[in-house]
Amino acid sequence: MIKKVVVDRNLCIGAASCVVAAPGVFELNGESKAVIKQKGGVKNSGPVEKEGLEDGAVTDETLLAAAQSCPTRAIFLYDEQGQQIYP
Amino acid sequence: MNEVKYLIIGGGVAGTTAAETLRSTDPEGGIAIVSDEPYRFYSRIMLSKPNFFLEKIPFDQIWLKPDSWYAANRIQLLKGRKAVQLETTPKIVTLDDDSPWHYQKLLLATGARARKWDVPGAEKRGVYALRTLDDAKEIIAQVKQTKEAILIGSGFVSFEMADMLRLAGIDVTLVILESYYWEPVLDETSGRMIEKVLQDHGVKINHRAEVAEVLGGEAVTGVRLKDGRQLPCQLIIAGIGAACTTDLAQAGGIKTNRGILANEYLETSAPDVWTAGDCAEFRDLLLGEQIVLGNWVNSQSQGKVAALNMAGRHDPFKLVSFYTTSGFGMTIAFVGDSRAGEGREVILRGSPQENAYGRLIFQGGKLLGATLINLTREMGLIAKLIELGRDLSPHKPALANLRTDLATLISANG
Repeated sequence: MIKKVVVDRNLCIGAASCVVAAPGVFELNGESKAVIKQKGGVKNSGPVEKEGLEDGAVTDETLLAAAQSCPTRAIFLYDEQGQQIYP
Repeated sequence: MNEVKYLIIGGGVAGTTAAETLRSTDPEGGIAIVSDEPYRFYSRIMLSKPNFFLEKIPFDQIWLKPDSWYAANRIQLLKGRKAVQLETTPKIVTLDDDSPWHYQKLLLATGARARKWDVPGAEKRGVYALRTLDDAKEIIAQVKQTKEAILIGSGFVSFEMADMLRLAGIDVTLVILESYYWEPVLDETSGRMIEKVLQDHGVKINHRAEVAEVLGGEAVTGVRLKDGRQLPCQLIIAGIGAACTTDLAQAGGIKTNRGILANEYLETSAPDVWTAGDCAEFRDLLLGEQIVLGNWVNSQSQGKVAALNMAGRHDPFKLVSFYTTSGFGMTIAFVGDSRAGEGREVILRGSPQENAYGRLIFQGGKLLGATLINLTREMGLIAKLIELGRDLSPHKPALANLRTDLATLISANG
C-alpha cells in the first residue's frame, strides 16, 4: 500500500512521462519540474500523503506506473511503515 | 535454431517497456531483446542533461533496470548484438554472429541514429554526436580537456550542451545554418528569445554559417568556416538531428518511408511484425496522417501498446505527446503537432516582454499543438484541450492573453 509520494527536484528533468501515466496526480510547473497536485489547489514536490492528493481515487497501480515510467527515477514511493517501495 | 515467442529488436525505452508489458500480460511466453549497444536499458534522455554530464548526480542513476531484472522476469537480453537479416515468412531474424532466431511475434524498436555530420575532417578525435551512452562517455572525458567548444545545429542537443558546457566554464560558439535558433520548427520570436538567454550566458552565435573543414591532426584543434574565418576548439558536438533506423525492416521487405510504416495498431506491412518508438512512422489517429515522433513519452507509450497488441489485444495507439527541454533558466516545450504550415492558424499567447510566449497551432477551431517558451506549466492543460478536440473558435481572442486560465476551457461544457 502506497502511503506517501515525493518528487526529487534535483533528479527531475521534466520528461513528463508521469504526466502521461497519472495526469490526475502530476503536472509540470514553470521550471519544468514535476509537481504533485494536492487537495486545496496546493502543488509542490511533496512529500504528500496519499489522502492529500487532489485525485483521491488514484490507484497504487497508477502511482507505481508513473514512478516506474520516470527516466530519471525521480519519483519516490513509501508505504505505511515509511519503507521505500520505489525505486 | 533459437526459438522465442516474442522477439524484440532494440533495448531502449520502447523495446524494454514492451518486454515488461509482455511479461505482465503473458507470464509464460519466451521473450528476447536484441540490443546493438553493449549495455542494459539506460536513460537515453538523461544523456544530454547537465546534472548527469557534470557528475552532479551519480553515474549509476543512468541505469533504469538492475541487471537482475532481466533474469527475474525471464527476459533474455542479447547485448552488443546486431540483427542483420529478417525473413518474415519463415519468421527468422539472423544476428551478426550468424545465429538464427525463429519468432512468433516480432517488434522492431530499432530507434534512430544521429545524423552524420558530413564535413572533411569530421572523423578527428574530439568530434562527436550525442546519441548513445558511449558517445556521452567520450564527451564527458573530452570536456575535462576542453577550453573552447563548437556546437553545430540549433536544436535541443545544442541547447542542453551549451548549458552544460557553460556550467563547466567552457567557451561556447554555435555554428548554425539557420537565420535564427531552431528555424523553422519555432518562429523567429521564439528563436530570438532562446538566442537572448544563450548570449546572456556568453554563448557566441554564428548564423547562416557552415563549417568547411575540421582542422587539426589526429585531434581537432579548430574549424574553418565557409566564409573563411577560423575558430579554435578542442570539442565539437554535432546536434543536427536523428534519422530512423530502418535497415532491418528494409532487409525484410517491410514498407518504410522516413520510418518503418505502421497503422494505428503499430502493425507493419508484414504479418506478426509490430514497430514502436523513434523508428516508427505510424498513423496518428488525432491527426489522420503518418508521422514520426522522436521522444521519450511517445516511445514508452508505443512500446506498451505494441506489446499489448502482440499479446492479443487490438488497441489503437492514441497519445498527445510532448517534449520539453530546459537550460539557462528557460524551458521550451513542444506539444502535439506543432507544425505551423499551410491551412493552419497560429494564436500567439503571451510575449517576449512577459518572458512567456506560446504558439497555439489551430486548424479551423481545433487545437492541434503548441510550442511553449517558459510555459511548461500549461503543457498538461494544452494536451488535454488537444485530446478533447473541441471547437475553440470563440475562445481564440482570449487565448492570446496569459491571464486566461486554460483550465476554465476544459471545465466549460461543449
